[in-house]
Amino acid sequence: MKLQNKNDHELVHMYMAGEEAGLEELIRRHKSKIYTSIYMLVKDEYLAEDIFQDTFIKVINTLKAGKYNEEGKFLPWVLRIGHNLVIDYFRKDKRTPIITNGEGFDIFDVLGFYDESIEDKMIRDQTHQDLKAMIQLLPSEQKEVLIMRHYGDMSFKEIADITNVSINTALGRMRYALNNLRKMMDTKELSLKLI
Amino acid sequence: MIKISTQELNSLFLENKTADTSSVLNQEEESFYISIKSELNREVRHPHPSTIDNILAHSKKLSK
Repeated sequence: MKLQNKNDHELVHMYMAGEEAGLEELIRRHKSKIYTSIYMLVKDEYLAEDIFQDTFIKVINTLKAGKYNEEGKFLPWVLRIGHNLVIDYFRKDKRTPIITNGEGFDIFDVLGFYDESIEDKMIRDQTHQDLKAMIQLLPSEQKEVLIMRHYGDMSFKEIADITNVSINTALGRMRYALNNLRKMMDTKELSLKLI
Repeated sequence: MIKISTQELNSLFLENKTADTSSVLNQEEESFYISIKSELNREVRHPHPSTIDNILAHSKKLSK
């Protein structure tokens, strides 16, 4: 069976049995979700790379030691480790996340995916920047749930487990996040020009 | 560049204290979420290949 056809559980067991290819496929499959979730919390590419790497070092060490809890799913487990490392970082340095200009690589910009005028592109880019800024203005617990839900593709149950709150609280935070984003957009008369 | 004052933020977030949290996302909230998904997806990023190489190297080192 091809690696792509194996589920996470099977890949974890492959890796624990000594086949490195299992880990490589798990990383290939989930790297963007995990990295983006970390990046959105720390807003620093270099720090996100470090925490992403430390996250997988912990994953590897746990799997190699045979301490993996098979009751949980792989992705939420890894995201939980990453989330805890982000918290540790800010606690240790007593820092708060900062807003920086996104200098990240955007595949759609490179490919020229959209057939649009310069003015349309400027509006789209400004809208994107505004939305990014608004997300950073959300209270941390709301931002956290939005990031885990959207970028981590996690259920409210999984988010609740990671953040040590009830499912209703996790859901409530998502609702607040969405309502607050909408209010901020209304306040600033920002309309999304979705193409 | 968007600018929102502290007063505006307080005004926005204080209203949350009386909001209902018991139900699932309602249709309006879900529709709004769907409307911003494509914008949120523009933020999807990938780790640098060298970071992946470091991770795999660590794993192989432990396997030896």
